[in-house]
Amino acid sequence: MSFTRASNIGYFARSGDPALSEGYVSGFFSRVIRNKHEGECITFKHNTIYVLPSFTGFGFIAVSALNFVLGINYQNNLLLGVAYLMIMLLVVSIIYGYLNMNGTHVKLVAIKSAHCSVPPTVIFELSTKASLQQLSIEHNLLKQQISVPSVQTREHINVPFELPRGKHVLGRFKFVSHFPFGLVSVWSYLYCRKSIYAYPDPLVDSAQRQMFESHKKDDQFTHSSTHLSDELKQLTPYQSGMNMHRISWRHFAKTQQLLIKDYEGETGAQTLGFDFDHLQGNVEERLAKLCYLVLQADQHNLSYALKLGPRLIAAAQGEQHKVKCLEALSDF
Amino acid sequence: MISNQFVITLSYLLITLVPVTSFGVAFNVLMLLLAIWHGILVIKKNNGVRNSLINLIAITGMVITGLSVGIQNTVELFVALMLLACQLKVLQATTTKQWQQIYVLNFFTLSSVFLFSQSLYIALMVLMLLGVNLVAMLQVQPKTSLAFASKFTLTKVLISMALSILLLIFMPKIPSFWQMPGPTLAKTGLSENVDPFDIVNLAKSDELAFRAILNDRTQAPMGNKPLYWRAIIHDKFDGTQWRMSNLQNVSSNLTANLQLAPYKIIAEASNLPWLYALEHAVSPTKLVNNNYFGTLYRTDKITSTFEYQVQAANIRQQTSMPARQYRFNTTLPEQLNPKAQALAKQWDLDSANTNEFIELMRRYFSSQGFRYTLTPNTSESKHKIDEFLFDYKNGFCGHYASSAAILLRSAGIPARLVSGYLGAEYNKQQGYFSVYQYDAHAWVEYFVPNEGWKTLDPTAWISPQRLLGSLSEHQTLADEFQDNLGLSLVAWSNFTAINWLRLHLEQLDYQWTRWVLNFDQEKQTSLLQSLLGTKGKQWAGALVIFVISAILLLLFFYLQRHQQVKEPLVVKRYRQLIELSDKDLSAAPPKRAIDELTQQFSSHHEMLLQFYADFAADRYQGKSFGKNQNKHAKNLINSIKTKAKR
Repeated sequence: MSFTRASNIGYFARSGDPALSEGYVSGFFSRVIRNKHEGECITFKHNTIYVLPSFTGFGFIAVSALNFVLGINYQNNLLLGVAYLMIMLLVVSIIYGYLNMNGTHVKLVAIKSAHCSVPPTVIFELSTKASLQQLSIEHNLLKQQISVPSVQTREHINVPFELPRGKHVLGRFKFVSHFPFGLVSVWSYLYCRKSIYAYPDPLVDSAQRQMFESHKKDDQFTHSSTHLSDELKQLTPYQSGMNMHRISWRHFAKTQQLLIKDYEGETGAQTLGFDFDHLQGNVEERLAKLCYLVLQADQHNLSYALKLGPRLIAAAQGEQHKVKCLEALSDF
Repeated sequence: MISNQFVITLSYLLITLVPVTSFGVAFNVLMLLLAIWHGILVIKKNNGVRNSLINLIAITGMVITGLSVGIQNTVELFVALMLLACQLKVLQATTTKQWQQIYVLNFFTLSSVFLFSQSLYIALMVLMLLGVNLVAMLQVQPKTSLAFASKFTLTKVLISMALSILLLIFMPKIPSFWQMPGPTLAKTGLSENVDPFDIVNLAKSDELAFRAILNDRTQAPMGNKPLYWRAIIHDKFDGTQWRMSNLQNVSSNLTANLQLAPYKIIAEASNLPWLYALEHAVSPTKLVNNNYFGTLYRTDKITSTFEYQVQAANIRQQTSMPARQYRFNTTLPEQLNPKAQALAKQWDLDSANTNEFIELMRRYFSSQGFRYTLTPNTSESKHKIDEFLFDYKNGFCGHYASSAAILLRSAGIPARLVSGYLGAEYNKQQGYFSVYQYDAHAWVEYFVPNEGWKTLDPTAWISPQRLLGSLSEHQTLADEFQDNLGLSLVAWSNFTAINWLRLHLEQLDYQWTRWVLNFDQEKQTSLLQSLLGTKGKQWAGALVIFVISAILLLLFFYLQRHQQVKEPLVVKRYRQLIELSDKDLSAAPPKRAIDELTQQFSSHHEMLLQFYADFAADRYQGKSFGKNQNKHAKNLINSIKTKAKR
């Protein structure tokens, strides 16, 4: 649904990532936008809001001119009146369109990197003093703009991306509103230098499973049976990034304390090594398989190392390690 | 917003069917069918019709439109095709972009009705339709509530209207760039070829013909001198019709009689170029000419209300008549109406001069029991005048005027028929005359050697009352008149309330016509001159743009100030309180902020705790922050302030 035209206004064409954009003029504007709108939050105000009649608005002006010519030639005051009324409506729309956007605060709350199919999502927080109507968010990596019918005081907006595997610089988000009557385009930008990762989707097949099993059986990687059968060794306080599955909820219910169950003979006992070069298939397949291995290892709370060509990620475990590995896989 | 889409269809249908636009029955039916089809699609929640089907309908529709409207009526054809195209686009449209195109085009399509009529009611109708269109434009984005959209649109339209009225008044008017074809209007009114037996049809119409503003009352004294508004001269009789004179649209030089005050006439659209004036007249208004007979005409057809000034002219009295002209003005089809011709010849022998002849004629009409009626007998005979004079003996002005002229011509007295209007309804408050179609009248002018052309109204012999005032004021005809008009406010003027309403609506329409429709270059110039002086008037355009910019700027700042949402009272007090602290507590949670304050102003410990309790009760427990609590909070703030000062 919507104002697909929006992005075609003026020079701010959807020319892709500013860094890649071509042409001197658009390049110049991209630089201006980058300098002016960079950051993780922005308040739309007089020096960051751009207003122009929209495509519909220009059509409206043309129809007004037509009415004006008819009014003059037929000496018809009512037709002239309609022509003037239309121009005044456009001007009033500009004022209300501007005021609609004015004072809105946009904050990039979270960048949720995820597997391509999840998908990776960016979350914005929009807050306004008055209500904000008919906003849409555009980005050159988005196929369809996200439309927000109205924001009363505060709202969180999810922007899910459909991305190919990789590391993507977020770049320029465009916030557009055509609020009153669709006659004007009122827009602003947020330029973010941060990156979002689209992890490969895990790929499961028997060969991999066998390999995973064979790694387990390998002498090099000493393996004891799964922790479920093990005796509880101790409870340690929870720290962020630790496996949620291992929280002792029973303790939480009693003492409101988050504790992690540690099992006998677990720590450092098993270390797995995943090597890109040892896998079969093309690059994407191998990465997808590696992704599966990393996830499996993490789920089983195993320590693992990852070798991606020349890059080696030393063996470790835990959430942060997993993320590091996944990011490495995305960025390969 | 499917309901909005159907409303757009309905507005096309309304424009098609409104009586001022005449596109023909076939086109009306076509639009009605398309609207019904759209209605069915809406009910079935079916959206968008196949393109091939639309194209097929478009081609057939264009043919139907062409046949129904007629290729020669360019303006109607254009508007009808616009309506058809928009309606088909509505049926086809599925995307927001397509709808936006439709909404924008509607501003042209809907306002094109103004080409056909500019009456107050039509203006209100179009304004309403444009408003609905704007609401639909606002609701293009889903989830915009109708209540919000309507309220928003209403206020914005009102602001824009006020500003555009300023523009309309002060923006310098530009003369038309080029001549455009006018619309052909279906209008009742005088016709160029008068069948005397037809003029009675006009008595059935209560449409306004024109209004006259006579500043000098002496010119048209109320009640003692009949107002004969001359319009068309007919000097050829072909047995059934009196044909318009060939000289009617030939311009002629007459000198203005400046002793008599000029007056203004606002003519309604008549689709004819002929204008109205009392007796002989000239006009200083552009495009208006006068002919040899001293009647006025415009160079083009009058397709919208038109205001012109009239100045009485000196009558160039013709004392003798050349033989050719004499023959022309006494010609009659010889074989028709033998009895009438015989009667005239008999009177001619009995009389010594024209006056005596007319006296004989008067005596005949008054003694033979003639009756003035709006429902005369109809006749299929060739000798209509004979039947009227000797058999039926009842008729309307056309019958009397036509018979008298024929009797005069039969006796060799040059005579011609004049059609125009007789009488007027006077509006006391505003001081103008309204002349309606039912005031249409026909009378005779005859020539006397050495004296010139004279006026004779044979109707006066039968019904002297008709000469004074309007037909609507005629007592003896009242019943017939009302039967004739049927459903009309005039027909009910016996009821005081309805007559009051009629007169007020009429007055409103007068002001509308005078000040809105006929606000032309001339009126604008005089208004600007009186407001800004001679020098200032050329700056009017710049001035109005400046004023509008100033208004918009004020509006902008006003709105920006009021954009902030009003905070609840308790939050306001809370903010005032934390302002008093040395530290910046704006980001701190309320509990901590109050604790901080309690530490700082330990003497107000109790009061602060009380305030926090009120605050929490209002914010978190849904209890109200009432008058007492507010008083307490104010006391707290004041006492902290006064303490801080010491």
